[in-house]
Amino acid sequence: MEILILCLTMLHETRPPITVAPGLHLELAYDVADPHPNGLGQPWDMEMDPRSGRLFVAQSTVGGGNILWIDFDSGLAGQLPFFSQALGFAPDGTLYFGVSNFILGTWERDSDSFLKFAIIPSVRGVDVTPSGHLFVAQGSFGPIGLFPDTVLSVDRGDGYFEPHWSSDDAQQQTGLPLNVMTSLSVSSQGSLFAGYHTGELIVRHPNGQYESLNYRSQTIGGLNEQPTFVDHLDLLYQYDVTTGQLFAINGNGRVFLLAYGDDMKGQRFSNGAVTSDGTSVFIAADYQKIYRLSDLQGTAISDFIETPRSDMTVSFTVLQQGDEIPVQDVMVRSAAGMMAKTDADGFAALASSDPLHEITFSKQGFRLLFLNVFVDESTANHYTVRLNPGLPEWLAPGLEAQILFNEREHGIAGSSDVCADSQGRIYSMNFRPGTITRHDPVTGESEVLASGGGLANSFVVSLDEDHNIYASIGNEGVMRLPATAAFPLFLTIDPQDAAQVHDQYGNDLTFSRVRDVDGMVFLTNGDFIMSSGAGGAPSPGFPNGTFNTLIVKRPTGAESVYSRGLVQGAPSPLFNNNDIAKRDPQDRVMVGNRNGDVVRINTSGDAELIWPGNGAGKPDGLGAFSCLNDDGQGHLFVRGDTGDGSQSVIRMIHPSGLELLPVAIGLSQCFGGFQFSDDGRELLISDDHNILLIKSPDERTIADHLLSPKRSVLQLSQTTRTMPPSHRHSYQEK
Amino acid sequence: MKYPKLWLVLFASAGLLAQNEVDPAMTDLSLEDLLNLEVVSATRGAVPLRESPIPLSLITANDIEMSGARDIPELLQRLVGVDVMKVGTSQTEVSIRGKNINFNRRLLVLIDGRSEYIDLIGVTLWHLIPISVSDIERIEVVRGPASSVYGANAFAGVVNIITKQPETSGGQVHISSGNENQPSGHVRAHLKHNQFSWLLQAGFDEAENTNTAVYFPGFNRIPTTVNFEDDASSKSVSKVVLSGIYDWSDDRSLRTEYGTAFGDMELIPQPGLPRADWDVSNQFFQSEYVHDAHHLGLWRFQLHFRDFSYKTQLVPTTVDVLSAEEQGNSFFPSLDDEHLFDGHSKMQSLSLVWQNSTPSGKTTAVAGIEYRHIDNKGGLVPQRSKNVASAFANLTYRTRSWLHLTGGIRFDHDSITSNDIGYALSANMLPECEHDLRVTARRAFRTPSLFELYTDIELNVPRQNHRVRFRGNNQLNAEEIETADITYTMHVGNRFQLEFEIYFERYKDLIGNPESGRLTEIEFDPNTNQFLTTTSFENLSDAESRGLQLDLRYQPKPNQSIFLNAHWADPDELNDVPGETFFTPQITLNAGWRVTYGDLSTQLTFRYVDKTDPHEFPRGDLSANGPNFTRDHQQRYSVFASYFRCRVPAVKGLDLFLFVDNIFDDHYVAYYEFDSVLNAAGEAFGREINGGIIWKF
Repeated sequence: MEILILCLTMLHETRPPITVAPGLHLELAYDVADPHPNGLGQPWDMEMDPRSGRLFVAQSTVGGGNILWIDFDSGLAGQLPFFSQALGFAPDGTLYFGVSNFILGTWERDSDSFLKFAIIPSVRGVDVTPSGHLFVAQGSFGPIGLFPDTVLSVDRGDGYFEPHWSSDDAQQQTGLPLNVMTSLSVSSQGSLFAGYHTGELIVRHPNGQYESLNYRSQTIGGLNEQPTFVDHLDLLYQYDVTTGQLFAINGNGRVFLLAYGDDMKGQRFSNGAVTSDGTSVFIAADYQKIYRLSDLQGTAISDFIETPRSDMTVSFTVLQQGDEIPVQDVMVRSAAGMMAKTDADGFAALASSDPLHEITFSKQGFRLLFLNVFVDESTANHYTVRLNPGLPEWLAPGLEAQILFNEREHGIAGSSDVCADSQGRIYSMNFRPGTITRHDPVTGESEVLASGGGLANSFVVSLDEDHNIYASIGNEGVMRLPATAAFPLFLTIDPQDAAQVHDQYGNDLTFSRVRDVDGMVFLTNGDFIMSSGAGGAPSPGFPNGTFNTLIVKRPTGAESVYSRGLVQGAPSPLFNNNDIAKRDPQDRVMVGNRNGDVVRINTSGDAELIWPGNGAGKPDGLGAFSCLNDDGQGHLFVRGDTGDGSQSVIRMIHPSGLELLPVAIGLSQCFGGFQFSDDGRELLISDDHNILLIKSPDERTIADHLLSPKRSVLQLSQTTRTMPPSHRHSYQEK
Repeated sequence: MKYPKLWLVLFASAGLLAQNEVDPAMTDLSLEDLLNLEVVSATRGAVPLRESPIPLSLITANDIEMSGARDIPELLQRLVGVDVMKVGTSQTEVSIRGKNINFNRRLLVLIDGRSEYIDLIGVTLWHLIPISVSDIERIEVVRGPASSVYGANAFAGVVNIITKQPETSGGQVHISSGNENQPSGHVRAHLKHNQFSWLLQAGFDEAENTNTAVYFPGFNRIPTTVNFEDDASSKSVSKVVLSGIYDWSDDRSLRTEYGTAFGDMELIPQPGLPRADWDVSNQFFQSEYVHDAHHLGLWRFQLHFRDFSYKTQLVPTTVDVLSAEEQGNSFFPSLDDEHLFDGHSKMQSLSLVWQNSTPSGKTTAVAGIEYRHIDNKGGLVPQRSKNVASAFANLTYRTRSWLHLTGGIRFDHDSITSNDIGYALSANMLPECEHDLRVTARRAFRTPSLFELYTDIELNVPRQNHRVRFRGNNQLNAEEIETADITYTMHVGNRFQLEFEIYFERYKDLIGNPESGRLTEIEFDPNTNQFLTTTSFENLSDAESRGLQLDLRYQPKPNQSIFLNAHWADPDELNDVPGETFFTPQITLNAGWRVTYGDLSTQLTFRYVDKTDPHEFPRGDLSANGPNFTRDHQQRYSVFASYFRCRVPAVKGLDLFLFVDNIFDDHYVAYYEFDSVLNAAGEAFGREINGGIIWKF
């Protein structure tokens, strides 16, 4: 326990103050915190009311959520009693807002009535142009609507809506995988700016062309929802809550870093809010404050950006973590657009007139590294950084770690689950390219078994005893790839039926139509358990849906409810957007949930909370969508975040149930499957671009090493910011 | 015009015919004879048409013979002020002075004095009426409210269908079919033997859908109106009526009837819901005893039983909606589980009516009492029943030969909505010259149907994550209407009649079923990811309407007649009552020309139906009191029709006929509605050619 505290302390960076570009001034505008009735909780969106000048904030709170309004002039505040994740004002003061994740509502000011306006679920962005044209961004976490992940043009007279955006075209033109839409801004020229949940910011120009702007790839909880706002001068503000940075992007695509700092970072969530009143920019996130940034001279930010400045130089030396040798050919890039490669000494220099920079250091085979720098004429402006090849930041004493398979050589990209068959071959679910790959540790060979068919939205891969392979068809069902199939399979989804997937030979590979299955496991009697989460909409055989339910498919093919996570005498079920599912030697099913709760279901279907995700009454929480598995020796291991969300860890629940013993800290992602060898001495981990192997070098099991460590190991601390753990994009909502 | 040559030929032929000899059997009544025809619907006692104290239109037997109409609504649509709206092949709505609507609940339809109004849902299913057009002697249409005589639901007016009584033995066979595959057949056989008369009427009526999906740009923006199963058969109804009449003497008779109509129809119960198959039947038993006690008056005792039964699945299941191919269907309302709405609504009524006049004829009184019991079992409404006890009286006092004053009142005690009163006051000036003037004031009421009071149905709209609850409201008040009419009639000899009428109507407590849209009334359930809206019936609005009409008849010769009528309406706030989408065309025109020469008779008609106010609701309005729909794309349409009937000399009593409706095939959609999500559509109707035989024996 003391070692754990020591390691975590060493990993924590001391938070520097917020750094703003010289000439700008940052002040605290509001800091009343939830659960105060007018307190800030977890903001999703905010905007100034053109009629009253008040700031309206759509937010989640302890009590569920509200729309908070703040009058800075009078100091008054109040709330509208609706939980919303997006809002926007029309020039006449009519407010349009998402009502929970169900519909688009409106506040008719003259009649002071709140009305259902359009049946658009999962509203994640609302903007009205100066000419009164209403646009709404519909995401896809939560209830499914007609046009998920698109921007809708909405008729303000009758609420009719139609799509005004094509994510398919945007993907094709930008080359970026685009999933869930999470923000929207519209310029007066008719450009639409849409953010996606993993950091992509895409603009649709009036001519219909799509372009990526200032792509942000870091995440909290798997998401980087990046609120945006376009002011009256068509300057786009982009607030990266994950990294604590505020950018301004003008119509020419020029990116200017206005401010950065740890105090601007979200604590647990990557959503936040940004808006402008014409001269000042306001930002807010789950740190429960609103900051106001303005030019000291009182001029518009767009003018501030264009102020002429002299060029300055900043230089870097890049070394490899561990052996401290210089790394050549590292691409050093500034968000403002400058770039250079390191030489044989690991040295590179950039010149720019901008005072603030976010620098990325990238090279295949190493974790991406970011550095915020402040450059002025008075300092040396030189930094030394270290790149991590992909190993955990910290390992339990006595254990060894190696990268078994990587992206460059073996095609591992966005690995979210891993399993092994009886011949020792390893299967990886790679959600980024949407492939299932198989790797042989003996021969070193790797092959792609399947691609397409919704695998880009599958986070699970499982095998039966005959080596048939199971994965999810996006959120629409479960597929089964026969072991005897002629691999590789190129899968397509029937355009008329999202649950139908076929291979190139026309074989129907749909195994089940149960929706939103992100966990699956076979029991010893051959029953197949599927974990269907919050997206478990009605499907054949389940007219009321399979929300938050374990469904069993018997060997006969019959499907029925296995468990709804009910505990006798409890007011509500334990399942909360249930996710990963594994079993222990007693055939009890263990289920990870959105809130991090680990729930165990016995063979009678009764549920029991094993560990609370928020850590209540325990030493620490687990983070959302914790992964879990048994080591075959009766020890339960969990993978997720540390309670403060700062690190991705794999830990063992002590047999006493009172402690969490870390195996590895500082993985590339907090989610993802892991599997033990039968003897408990080896641990396979899917970790984004790598499959890692952690093993015991002796006859003791990994659990033995945790329970009786032989020696301590110091890890190296960093002053820079590595790519924080990558989190499942369904962290926030599914 | 698409067929100018055809039009010219028709006119030329008709013109030639006009010059030649006349067959008396096919001639119209003279206008004077028409005005002297006795009608019963104004007071429930017999009174000459000219002396009717309230506005009343008449369709005579000859009108019916020469109309070519295939059903009763087609007969009615030529009358001034009557709106006939074809919602679909098997669903037609009729109203008077505007106020037409899908499932019109504000018109009372009678056959020989017995009600065809179905209290369960408050409508008349015109295509389920057990008689056919050829059974009708005449139709009396009361324009405007008539609760002082008939009680509840005689709100917009009354259509009283008087059937033919057998006077000899014989019969008739009527068979037809046409290009839209709408075969129908009807046989009527009557036997008179001494004091007994027997009558058997039987028939069938079938039709397919025509152009089921109505689609035009900007309307079906999210197509939700496509039915899930292509069902070629829109209507398939069979009918049988058996009557026995015993004439004790000249002053006493007993008539007993049993009839049934049964089959399949497609009804659109609510905007946005699909056209569902309804397996329906309408059975009745009626017995009427009439006794003319001379100076003690005329007594009429009637006993009536009716059983309306239905089975429908109403909407598809959620599984079917999710499996539907077309994406727009994902906004279809559905039921979670397959459910058959299977119910009966039974009505029993007793009435006793007495009519008498003073020996001088100066005063005529009609009075009566009635009792009705309605019992609903299962289906759309749980088991419910209600009773209505009524008493009415009206008195006509002829102060002068030219001045008739009439007053009538009716009191209804309804076991659910309590008491209500209808009245009528009239002053009818009939000088011995060519000009008549009548002034009328009336009040009527409509009681809410059992569906409006008690229903509780929950539908699922899966891709909206939306559940919709329809819930009745047992606190509803009756709707009210008050009307004032001024009618001026000029008749010149036997040849020319012009009637001009102006009316004002005021409505109170109109019942609608809006979903308010208020967020505070929506139930959001994060556990199921669904939200629930409740649509309940409420007494929502008051409104007004006014209109004027012109009705002209001209008979240049005994074998020719021309009619022309026009109606103009100005409904104020009527068409935007939340939750009730009324259609009140601003202008309707009817014109017709009929001529008979020898064995050939011809009728040419023209009908024009305007839009509602052209500036009405070009876009939807989702404000709290907004109508929530748009009238953009509403059509105005005109229909030319022709009817030819020719006797076959070789076979006694045999006629051939040809009816061409919508000669120029100008497709039109009479009914549709639109709201922000759910669209409803009727059918588009084009040219229909129907031909067949009529054989009287």
